Amino acid sequence: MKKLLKTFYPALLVVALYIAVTLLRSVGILNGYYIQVMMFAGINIMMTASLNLVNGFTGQFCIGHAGFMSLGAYGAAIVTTMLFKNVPAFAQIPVFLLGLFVGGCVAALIGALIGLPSLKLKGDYLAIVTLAFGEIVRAILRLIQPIGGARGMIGIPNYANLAWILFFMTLTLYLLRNLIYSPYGRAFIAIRDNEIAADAMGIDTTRYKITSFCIAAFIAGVAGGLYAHVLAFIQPDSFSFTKSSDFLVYLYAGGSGSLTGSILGAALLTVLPEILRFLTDWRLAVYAAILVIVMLYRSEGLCGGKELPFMRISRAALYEKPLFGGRKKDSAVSGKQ
Amino acid sequence: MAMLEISDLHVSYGAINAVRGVSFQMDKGEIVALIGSNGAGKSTILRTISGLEHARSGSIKFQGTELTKMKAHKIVELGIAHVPEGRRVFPKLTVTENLHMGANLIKDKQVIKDSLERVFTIFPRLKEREKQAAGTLSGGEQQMLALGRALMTNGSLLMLDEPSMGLAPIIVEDIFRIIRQINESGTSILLIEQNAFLALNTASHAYVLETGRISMEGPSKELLADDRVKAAYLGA
Repeated sequence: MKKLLKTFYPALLVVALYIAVTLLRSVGILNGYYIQVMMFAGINIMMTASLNLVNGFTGQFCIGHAGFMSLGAYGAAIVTTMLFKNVPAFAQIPVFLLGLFVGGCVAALIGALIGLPSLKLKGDYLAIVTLAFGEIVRAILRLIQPIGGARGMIGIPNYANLAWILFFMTLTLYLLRNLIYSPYGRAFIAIRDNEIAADAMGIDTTRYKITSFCIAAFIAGVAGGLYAHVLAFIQPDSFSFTKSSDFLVYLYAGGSGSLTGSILGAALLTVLPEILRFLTDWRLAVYAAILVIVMLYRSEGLCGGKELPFMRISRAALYEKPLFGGRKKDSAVSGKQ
Repeated sequence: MAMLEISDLHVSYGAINAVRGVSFQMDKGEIVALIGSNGAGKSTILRTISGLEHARSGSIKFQGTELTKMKAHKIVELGIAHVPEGRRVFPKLTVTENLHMGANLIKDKQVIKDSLERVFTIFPRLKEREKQAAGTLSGGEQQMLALGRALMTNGSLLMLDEPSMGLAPIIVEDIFRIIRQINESGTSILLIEQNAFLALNTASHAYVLETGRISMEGPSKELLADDRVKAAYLGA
């Protein structure tokens, strides 16, 4: 019982947050605008946390994360707009979930396709490839007329609400936390800390880099799908390099290599420009100034690689498990000695 | 049959030929040293054996298996452990986690536990610092950790790249005592060392490399007494 509570209390916190928001809304303190800002914060947390897996934990440098978001957004939107009209109301949930899943898979698949050649390269090459990838996706989406081309895609069911977003956000964070504190995660961190040593320890670095990249792309795809179903309208230009750089800012301001940092960075920096709206034209200048101050005084980001207790798993328990237990039996070692 | 057999190995970085036609072999249970000055190609040879560099031509056979076309992680599975130059521990992981990374190809929990115990018996210092992040260890301790991590692979051949680099003489003595001890328990060792005196006193057989070629070879005792080696590497 105690163990169950320990596992689920972060999720209960999210549920409590949701109930509080719903109550505040019903008494009129929060309006739809606040709710929408919160929804974007949730989506941005998913984007930033998944980017953290690649940039913060595996030590690669992906700067085209919005490209995966757009693939997921379009993938999901195409599925739901095609199917929603034709199914009864009770089947809408499965169709919505299917859409998100398809969006995630499209993003992961393309992620694998561009990751395979480019993750074998080291350092800045991946950054260049992912930057180009984001722009190529945008350019191609602008050309496809059946999904609206540059005008964008309209008529997407406005199906995602705060509950769905909080649900997927919580799921994402659980998944990433458990992954990072698994033997897989330790291999990611080993690659980040020292790729040559990781290689010399028998870690298939290319394989792990691609795994990390695909998982991140999948989550970004699902987040994109949610985004499409919040706005009910998407256009290729919403997923430009500016969007990718937003996530990089959230990640590094929050602290790369810390999931708590991704949550804080994405949430605070999504809300901050809205709070600063009273400054009208000065808003973005002040936002930038705050970022500069954060980076001057906390160059490792707000969390600087540290985690709050609920985003951490005791590593001592991990030593009890065999490492990489799921991998194939290797007869090479035992057979030759 | 020799355990490791290298014949006519050529490795180049672009237009620069780092290794030009090196051939040598070592037997099971031996300590073999490669000595030579900076840029002689010593590290390149080790890196090529463990698959971190690719040979232009020539062959590397380990217990009869050709290694030149294999990937680095497959070569580790065959039982070759490489301690790269400059230690290269994982600074953000703890000492125990670093050691576990070495055992990541081993399935059997009991084997991992035994190897861990063995490493802690050889290096009691690591046991004391078990939970500490590896980046906070001293240079000597990091070298011990790198050695311990390589031992965790349970390989039959251990390749050491400059284990004395940047360490205080008293620590170097410690490390080399341990290297001999590891060898006595049955692991073969291929050692690269700039400190030729130390290397020749540790190894049974040695090869002298000069600009990518082997210029001299023989039992360490003979090389120690050789005038040319003395003049060039021992400062006598």
